[in-house]
Amino acid sequence: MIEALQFEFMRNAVFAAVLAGIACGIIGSYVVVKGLVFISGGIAHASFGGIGLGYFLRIDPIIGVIPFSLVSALGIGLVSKRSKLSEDTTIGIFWAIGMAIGVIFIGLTPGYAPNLFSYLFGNILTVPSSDILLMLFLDALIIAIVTLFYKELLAFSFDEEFAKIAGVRVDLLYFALLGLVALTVVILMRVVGIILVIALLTIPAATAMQYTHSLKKMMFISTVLAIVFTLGGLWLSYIFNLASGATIILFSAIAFLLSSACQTIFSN
Amino acid sequence: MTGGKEIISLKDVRVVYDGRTVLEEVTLSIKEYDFLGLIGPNGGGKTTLLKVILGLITPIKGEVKIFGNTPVKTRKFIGYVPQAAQFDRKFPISVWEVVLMGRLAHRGILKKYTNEDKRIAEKALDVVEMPGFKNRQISQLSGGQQQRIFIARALATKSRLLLLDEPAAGVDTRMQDGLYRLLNKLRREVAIVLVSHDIGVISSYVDKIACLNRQLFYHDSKQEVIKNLEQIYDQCPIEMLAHRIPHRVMKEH
Repeated sequence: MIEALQFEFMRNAVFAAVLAGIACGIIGSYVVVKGLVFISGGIAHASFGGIGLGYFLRIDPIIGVIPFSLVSALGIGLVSKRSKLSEDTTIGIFWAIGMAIGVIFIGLTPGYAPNLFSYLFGNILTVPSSDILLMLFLDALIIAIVTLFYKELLAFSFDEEFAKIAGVRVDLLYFALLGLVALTVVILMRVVGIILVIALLTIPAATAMQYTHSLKKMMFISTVLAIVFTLGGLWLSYIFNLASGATIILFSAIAFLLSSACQTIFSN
Repeated sequence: MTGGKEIISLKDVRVVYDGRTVLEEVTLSIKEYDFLGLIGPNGGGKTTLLKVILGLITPIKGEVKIFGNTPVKTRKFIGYVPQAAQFDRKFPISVWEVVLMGRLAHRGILKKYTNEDKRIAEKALDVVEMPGFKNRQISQLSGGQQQRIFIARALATKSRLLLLDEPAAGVDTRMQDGLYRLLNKLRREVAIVLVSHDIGVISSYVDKIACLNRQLFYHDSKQEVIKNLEQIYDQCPIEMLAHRIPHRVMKEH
């Protein structure tokens, strides 16, 4: 593995793992404690429309995904808050519409859609340096927002009603959080693909939650876990010659199950 | 008991929810240092009334004034203790973080909690007699202890009005007594509205009782309410009515 680091694609893979780990450690913790798992799945899948748009406009699909995932996050949030539709119905509808738009755009694009599979299921070994820079920027944005609004986000996640009474603009905060989920989807897309994003948003955070009673520590532990899972999965996929995105997810899931089993055994 | 400044004033309030009238012709006045017990059957609108006071639900008719202004403007001066059932017990948060949250309205956005906030939170923990529990996680506490922490959070807001929604639900009898004794101590400093579906216990602590079953049945003297409970009962059925009230009334004399 060490000699593999002399290759640029391998170094980029390690950078991508660390940057993805930071995003899913922080945002994944909110997703898990605030119960945003399904809505995040909806945002991730709806983002496929952005990939299709990118192909159609002949730009880097990741540039198409950023506005698309932000708009779908806003759309899901607005419709489920303001209309009479229930939240999970809204999510289901946006989920399907986004993917359908993606399929139509790709169909309209003449010729073959290169690397389509890597956007769906991830390929951490093909992350270009430009995407690393983008991930770095998005990570910085996430850290800045979460640091500035930490006490409001904590109150909002724990007791939304109390936060509202205390004068916090909870609707704005909700949309901001969904927007951060959308940006995290963009960051994770290169690593595990939009279909598997939801696993990296939940598994490291859910594992971390078994070991701490503090949200800050949970963010820190799940960041470390996400990095370990991603690099460990990458290493296993390298040894056994398997798809990296799926191996990362299965490796994380096994670690989570083992951790849960240990928790059950030791708490009895 | 009388003559204090009015802090809650509801006039002819009507709330409709999904086409169903939940509150009707509700008129209520609460003054400084009042201790009102709000009782009534489940689904009678008790929690809705609290949410009207907090400006979380807007009535379709009537006037709501809290500290002389609209609830949305003044609700941050209310200490609210919600029903315990609405919390995620596994949430990774410490007792200290919960109590500090009471200072949220006083500390603007982008600002950290100050030493003064910490001193106030510390004092609130002392008042509810839980000073040693700062670093515990909320799920490690019993139901009664959790309620004390949420009361501490409400106290940390430094409000002159406390609203408590079924604080004794799911709390064992011994802890309940402690809880009511705590409220009895607090009433010297703040006005309290205590929601309960059990009139038996609260009637010996509160000084006014209102019974809510869509409409509000309310007298300035609780003895009046208790005496007339049997007539009210038809419109406002209450649990534990039959044998517990007379004992409590006797104790007062």
